Parts: sequence; C-alpha cells; structure tokens
Amino acid sequence: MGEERIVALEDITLSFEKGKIYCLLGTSGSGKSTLLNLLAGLEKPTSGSIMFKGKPLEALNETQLALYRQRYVGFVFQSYNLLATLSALENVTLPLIFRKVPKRKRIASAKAMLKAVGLSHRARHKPSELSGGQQQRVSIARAFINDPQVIFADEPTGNLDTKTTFEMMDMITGIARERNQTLVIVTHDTEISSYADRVISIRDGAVESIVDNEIRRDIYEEN
Amino acid sequence: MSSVDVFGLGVRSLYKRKLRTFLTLLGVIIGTASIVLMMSLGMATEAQFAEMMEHMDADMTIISVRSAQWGRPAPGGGWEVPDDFPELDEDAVLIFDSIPGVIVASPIIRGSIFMRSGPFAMMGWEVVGIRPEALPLMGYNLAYGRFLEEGDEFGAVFGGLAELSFYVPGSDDVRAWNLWGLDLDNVEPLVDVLNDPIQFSYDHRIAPSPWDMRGADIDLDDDMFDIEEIFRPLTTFDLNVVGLLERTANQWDDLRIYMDIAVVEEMAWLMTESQREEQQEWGFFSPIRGERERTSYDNVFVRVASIDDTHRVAEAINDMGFVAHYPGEFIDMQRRQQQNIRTLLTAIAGISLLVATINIANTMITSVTERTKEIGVMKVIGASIRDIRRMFLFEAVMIGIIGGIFGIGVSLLGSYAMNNFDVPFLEGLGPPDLGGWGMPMAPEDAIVSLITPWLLLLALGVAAGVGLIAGYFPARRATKLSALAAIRSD
Repeated sequence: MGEERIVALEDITLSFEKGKIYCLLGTSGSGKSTLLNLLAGLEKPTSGSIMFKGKPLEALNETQLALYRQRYVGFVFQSYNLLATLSALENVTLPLIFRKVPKRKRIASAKAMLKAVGLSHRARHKPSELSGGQQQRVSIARAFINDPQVIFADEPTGNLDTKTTFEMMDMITGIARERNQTLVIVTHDTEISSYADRVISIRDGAVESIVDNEIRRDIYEEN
Repeated sequence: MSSVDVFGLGVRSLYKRKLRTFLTLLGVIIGTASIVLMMSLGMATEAQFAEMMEHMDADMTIISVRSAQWGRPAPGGGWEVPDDFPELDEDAVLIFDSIPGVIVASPIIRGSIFMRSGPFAMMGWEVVGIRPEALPLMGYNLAYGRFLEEGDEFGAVFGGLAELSFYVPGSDDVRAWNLWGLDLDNVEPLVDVLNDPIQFSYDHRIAPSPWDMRGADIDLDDDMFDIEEIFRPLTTFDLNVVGLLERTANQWDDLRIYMDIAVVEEMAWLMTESQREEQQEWGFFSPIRGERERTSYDNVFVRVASIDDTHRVAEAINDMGFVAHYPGEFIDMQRRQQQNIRTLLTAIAGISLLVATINIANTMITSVTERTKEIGVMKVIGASIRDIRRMFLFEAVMIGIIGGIFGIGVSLLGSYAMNNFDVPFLEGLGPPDLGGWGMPMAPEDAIVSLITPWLLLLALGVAAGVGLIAGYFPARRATKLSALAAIRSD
C-alpha cells in the first residue's frame, strides 16, 4: 500500500453471455485474477461498473454480495479450499447450508452432485483422505450445487497433473454446458483455453485479443 | 444459516481442537465453580441469619428511638454522654416519617394504670400511649373489635395476652407473670375485657397486689378502700376496651395495652400530682416535677416496610444524633461483618472468572487467525456476515455453557464435601453462637454451603454471558476479514 499507484486493469469493456464458456488467459501479473475477483464481487473497481443482470455489483453492500454469491455464483479454486473438518459430502452441502436449504434436501442434491463428478464412493471421507484430483472434484461439486448462473474457476487445474487436468476440464465444461451455465476460467495455460468458447487474452491490465473458438470449431468441423 | 447448522459446525470445530477447547473449558469450570462455591457459603450463612431473625420474638420492623440524653454508643466503641443532643420532639417525629422505607413514626409514652373488673384486678405496667391513627400501622392484627379512634373516651386496645393479666387480689394467683408455664390456648381469662365493665385509675389502690393478704378481705364491690392508712378518695375512670390484638411471637409485646397518647399523658400527670399530695400528707416535701406541657417523648416507634430497611433507617436516625434500637441489631451487625468477608471471597472468585473470560477470548482469536482461509472460503461460497458472526459467537458461548455446566457439577461436589467433612478454614463463617443472651442459637446441624437452583441458573447464565463477551471481538474480527485476503492467506 505504498504511495505508488498501480494500475491492475484499465479500459476494459467485456460482456459475458449466458451459457458460454470463457477463458481469461494471461501470464502471472497480467491482471486476469483481478478481473475475476471484480466479476465475483470480491473486489470493487476504483472506477467503472460491473453489471450483472442489469444491476451494478459495485453498489451492493456486504449482505447483498453474500446473497449474490449464494444465488448466482459458484467458485472453483486452484487449491480446492475444502473445509478440513467436514466430509466430502458436507463440503458439497455447505453453500446450501448458507442458503438455509433443509438438511434432507441438501444431502440429496449433494449426493447427486457427487455422483455427477464420480465421487459417490468417497462421500464420507475427509479432504485429507482424498487425492488432489478427488478434492478438486469435490470442489467442482460444491461450485455447482446451488445451480449458479456463473461459475468462476481460478486456475482450477494449477495443482493437477496433465491427465487429471483434462479429466477435470472435461467435467467442468461438460456440466456447465449441460446446464447452460456461464463458466469463466482463469488460466495461463493455452491448452486449457481451447476448452473455451471465447478466449480473452489479458496483458498488462488490458485486453489484448478476443478469440472466438466457436467459429474456429465450426470451421474445423466443416472441414 | 439455520441454528441447527450453526450448532453442528460449531461443535465439530470445537471437537477438532480438543485439547485447546478442553484447556479453555477448564478455566471456565474453575471460574464458575469458585463463584458458585463462594456464593453458596454466603447463601448458607444468609439463610441461617434469616432463620435466626425469624425466630426472634419480636416484630423486626419496629425501630425504637430514644433521645441521646442518657448516653449513646460511642462511634469508636464504648459509651458516651453527649453534651449536645437533639430533642425527641414533634419535629424529630416528622423527620423520621420522611425517611424512605418508613411506614409511620409515632411518639410513644410509656405509662401504667391499675384496673379492676368486679372481683378481679390488674396492674397494667405496660401501657403504651400511642397516636390512635398510628396504631393500625404498627403491624398488629386485630383478633376482635377495632383499633383506637379519635374521640374514644378512655379507649384501649389489649395485646393478645393482656387479658390474662387479671387476678384475684390476695389469691397468690399470678398467672400473667407465669405465662411461660401456661397452656395459652386453653387458658380462660377471668375477665371478658370486651364486655365486662372495667374501671381504671392511676391510683394503685384500685388493684391490691396478689400477695397482699389484706386484699383477700376487702370487698371489691365497695368503693371505699380503707386498706391504706390514709383515707383518700379514689378517682376511677371507665375503661372502654375497643379491640383485642392477635397474639404475636413476642409475649412481652402481647402483654401491652395501647391507649391514646393524650390519655396516658394525662394519667401520668395525675399520678405525679397524686403522689405528691400523698407524700405531702405523709409529711415529705415534694417539689413540682417538670412542666405540665410535654415537649419531648419517651420513645418514638418507627415502623419500616421490611426487615431489610431496618438497618438503613436505624443508621439514618443514629446519624441524626438519636439512639435507635431494633430487635436483631446484634445479629445484623454480625451479618454485615460476614458479608464483607464474603464479598472479598466472591471478588477473588470473580477474578478467576475474568481470567477464564480472557482465556476464551484468546482461544477464539487464535481460532479466527488459524481459520482465516476457511472464513474467506465460506464468505466466497455464500456465507453472510451474520453467519460468520454467529458461528464464532456460538463457539465462544458453547465453551461458556459447557464450562458452566461442568463448573456447576464441580461446585455441587465441592459443596457436598464442605457440608459433610470438616473444613478448618470455614469455621469463622456462619452465625456466631448467641445462645444464652436471649438470642436463638445457631442451628446445630447448620450447613456451610447452600446451593439453590436459582444460584445454578445464575451461574449458567453468567458462564454463557462470559462466553458471549469473550466471543464478541473475535467474532467481529472474523466478519471484518476481507474474503479475498482471507483466501489468499495460508
């Protein structure tokens, strides 16, 4: 917090459509994570506006932001961030606990969600008893359980090996597409960006390019 | 987030940090147990003092005030006769009346009259002259009839045992002076005071003593009393007994006869006059004693609303320079001294509870710091500030309540031990043995420690409150954490 003014992001105008998969691609320090935090309402912009369903996020107070995250947002972290005291199943139910969903109902949906990520057999295990990939599956299940409109994934595969990375990306994009949810993935890995419909490259706090993979994919399929 | 979930997550979190939770609990257990035990000592002694007060044979709410003319207890102990003292006059009565807690302050003149009814006589040594309007406020209940009224000609209200004081002159039957040997419920009074005509006088000749064998010979129906060597006419008045009081615990009080203060004053004056005449007839010189008009009273009775007011009101009156006495004064003094000791002990116990509070706060702060990342994650996945605050407050309150419950258990064990085994350092506590001084004895099987359900509830409430206070700032700190900074921390 020195006197020096650091510009993380400047002059960015982006819009995200429902049901599309986006990738924010950039090197470390490019500002891609800051952009994600702004979109998730974790940080407020010093100027400008972030509109979600026609309402400015930066105008919400803490309580409204909590509601925004409960209802519309799912989050996948690089380091999984599961609660160590809770079992896999309980970790998945956590967002529903904050939404005051009755116990029976939330356990049923959590079981279904764990099944979708292929982890039914480890539902009672604590995070410490799971591999990295398994933990990330739990984390993905947790992100999707409240049926969000947007899922933010911050370097979701940063801690995983290549094989697991592809498994994880297939799963996360598969679920998002199936449910027509918007997915925003932050990564520095160009291989991962190929999963996205649109790849937004960020460099030095500005948008460098936007590549529409859908068009490329269409061309590829046509050929 | 529902309360059930707050509970479930909180219990888990406490269980995960078992050792730390246990050590923190230990502090609360010790703090609660010591507070409860110290207070239980106080409650036991208080209960015993209260029992002693209850068994005192007197109305505990009447303070008797006299002038300091004949001396008063010196402030540093001992006795002093002040050079200057306030008069116990009408002004003083008005001031007493204005002290908060006082129901009524009434001047009192003590006198004596002599009575006869047919063949029966009575020496009324304990006649209390009181203002008619004050008597009903003195706390006595009527068994029959009514209280005194303004305008009653020689009206009188008899105490519950006063009617038994009639005797047959010369018969040696002095039942009234041997009340303690009588079966009071089955004694038939010689005179029906409410219905039989009674004459009274300041002149003792109307009631020859029970031992005066000459009294046996005299014809009580004859108005001429010639048993005295000097023949003088006897002035008598008709006593109008308007009421009979219920018996109280105090037989001395029950022997009293209440009359209008003006009548008693008049009788006292007539008696003085008559004695002087008599002495002059015998050839003695008797100077005129005092003025006819009285300006000060023998006593003022001050009745307070409750036993708890007596000490304060009596102190206030003493501070004005009068001498106030009340039944149970000595017990009260002892009680106060013990209260001081117990306050000190409870304060020490309070310190241990304070340390326990700080301990909880410390544990919770550590917990918040340790779980910074967890808090951040919960915020990002939708926990509201309220949820976070409730989770941490719950943990702190839970430590308080669980510690409180175990503390109560420990205190119950401790209390049992103190009551059943000799604990040397506790011997100074409890009411002193006052037997032999007209005071009730301390109960033989007195308990040292008394724990009431009320005390347990209070202890639990305090323990929970301690948790709440200790948890407040840590919980606040948790809610203030920035979600972003929290998830980034390790």
